[in-house]
Amino acid sequence: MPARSLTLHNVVKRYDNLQPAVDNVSMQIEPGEFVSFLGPSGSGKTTTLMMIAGFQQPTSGDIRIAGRTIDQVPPHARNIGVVFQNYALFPHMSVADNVGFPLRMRGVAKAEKTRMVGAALEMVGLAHLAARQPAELSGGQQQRVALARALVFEPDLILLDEPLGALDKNMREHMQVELKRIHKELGVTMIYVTHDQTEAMTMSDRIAVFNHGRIEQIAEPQEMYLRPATRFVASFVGDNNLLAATCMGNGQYRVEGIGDLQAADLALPAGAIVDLLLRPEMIRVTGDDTSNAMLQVEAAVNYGDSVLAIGKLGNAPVRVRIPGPQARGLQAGQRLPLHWQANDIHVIPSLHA
Amino acid sequence: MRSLKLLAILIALFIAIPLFIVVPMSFSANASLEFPPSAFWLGNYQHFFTDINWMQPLFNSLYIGVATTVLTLMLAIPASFALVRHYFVGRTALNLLLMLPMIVPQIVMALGYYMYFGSLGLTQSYSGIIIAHTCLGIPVATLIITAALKSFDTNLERAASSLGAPMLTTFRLVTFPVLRPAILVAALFSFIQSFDETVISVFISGRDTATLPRQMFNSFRMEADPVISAASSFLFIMVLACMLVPLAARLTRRATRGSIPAQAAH
Repeated sequence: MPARSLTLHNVVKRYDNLQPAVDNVSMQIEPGEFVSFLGPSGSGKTTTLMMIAGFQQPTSGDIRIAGRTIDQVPPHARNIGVVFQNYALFPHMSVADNVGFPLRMRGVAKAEKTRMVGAALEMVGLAHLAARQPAELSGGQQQRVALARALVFEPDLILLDEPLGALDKNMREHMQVELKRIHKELGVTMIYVTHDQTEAMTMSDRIAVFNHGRIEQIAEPQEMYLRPATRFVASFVGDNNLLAATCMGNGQYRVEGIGDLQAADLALPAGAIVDLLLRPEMIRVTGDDTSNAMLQVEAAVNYGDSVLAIGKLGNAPVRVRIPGPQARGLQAGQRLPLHWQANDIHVIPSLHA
Repeated sequence: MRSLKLLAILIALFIAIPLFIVVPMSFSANASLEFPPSAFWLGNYQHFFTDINWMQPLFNSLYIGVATTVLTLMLAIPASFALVRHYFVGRTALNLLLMLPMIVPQIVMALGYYMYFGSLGLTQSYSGIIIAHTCLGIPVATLIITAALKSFDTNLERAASSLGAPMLTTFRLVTFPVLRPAILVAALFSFIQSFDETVISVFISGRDTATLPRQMFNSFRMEADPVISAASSFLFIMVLACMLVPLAARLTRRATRGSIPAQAAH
């Protein structure tokens, strides 16, 4: 399948004079990439997707597929496959007719159509259900039919709008693996909208985090997890501890109520206001006197494989993830000596500084 | 529980009793309307189906009913789309206006039509009755179609257009077929509404354009001709058939659909 690039250039969507729904979004998506739009509801990720599909018009800005502007191209001529959260299968058509619909629109000859529908259904593992009506299928099966229908006509892009949101947890994990497999086999450019950070982390080549209509950061999942660009990204992706601090120079950061912490990250001028990110699983509990701080445990949540100790360092709430075997007998009220390395701390410059 | 069931049966009987009187009476040999019938006789039906004074109104009713149905749908479908899909100034007022014929007493409507159509020269004409019946049919048709449109998933249209269907093709292949059952029900109700309607027909239809109910009303007032019971029974059977045909169609469809998974299991 041919893979195409997608370019958004200063795209704005404004419904009225209030805060724009999409505020100056620009990004470049490479051919064959799997990119997730991650963000809370109302962050502009779905609106951006709808503008790419052509269901909504940008107020200003430019959207290009393979370098060609598509602003004036109506949705039916854009050659983009869209998968919706509620499947949107045509209820009065069989599975085969649903998948064959885009080919029918393109005037594909009958024999060729049958072959392509068969191949697409094969790809999603539903070739044996071609004669069924959508209402006779489970949610997971319906979503696979929708996927087959969105890819059968070899679209330039496939857009997926929270496609697994209506499925239960097991089916969702199963479909994540399936989707990745299909993406790898076809090599088609896919854009995946989700509010589930785990889904975005496990599936994407890159993630774009949306907030208030803007993109806060675009990065590979690992990069985004280790070095989030903003406080919002740090808090939205993964479990976290964020400590407000002031840079003292020489890699020293003063945290109210705790003292000065050493961080290997970034050389910032003294006086800069920052947030220090310390992931709960980066913190270790030590027996000896190498501890950086003492945590007053207020609650211990047992996950089986690990225990989450929740307490306070100074005034700041802090969570520590302790592997199961080390956490036996941990109770609220205990004091834990904590240890971390200077390069476990990621420094996020505050936007207001 | 049992007494509740008994009550339900009694109520159903009470509602159905007029039918138990009218239908047997239509087979009666009596010269005037009497119950119970003295002997079984098909003469009333023979009379009904051979007398031009009954057949003309029957034809009129069918013609007016079909024309009313077509006109009602032509107005109610676009109106429903406008009411559900678009926001415009005066939407609530328009909705209320469309519902008015259902709220205003028919005799008031009839008088209004009589005066107004008289000055337009529309009384005693087919067009006059068709327009009046269309006004009566629009509220229910609009209610049925807007309800279906409100539950219609607009993502179906978006999906169709993303798959390459231009706007009109999307309507023809997706929107209309999904709404079809509701449109059929709306059509049925407008036809029955028109076929049944008496008050307005009495006021504005002339001798040549008299509908079946008007003819029955006249006949009853003048002479209590027992043919009227045959006409009533026929009217009832027609309406019943209109209601039962779609029901039967749905039952057979469900039966065939139910057999598909069974086949696939083999």
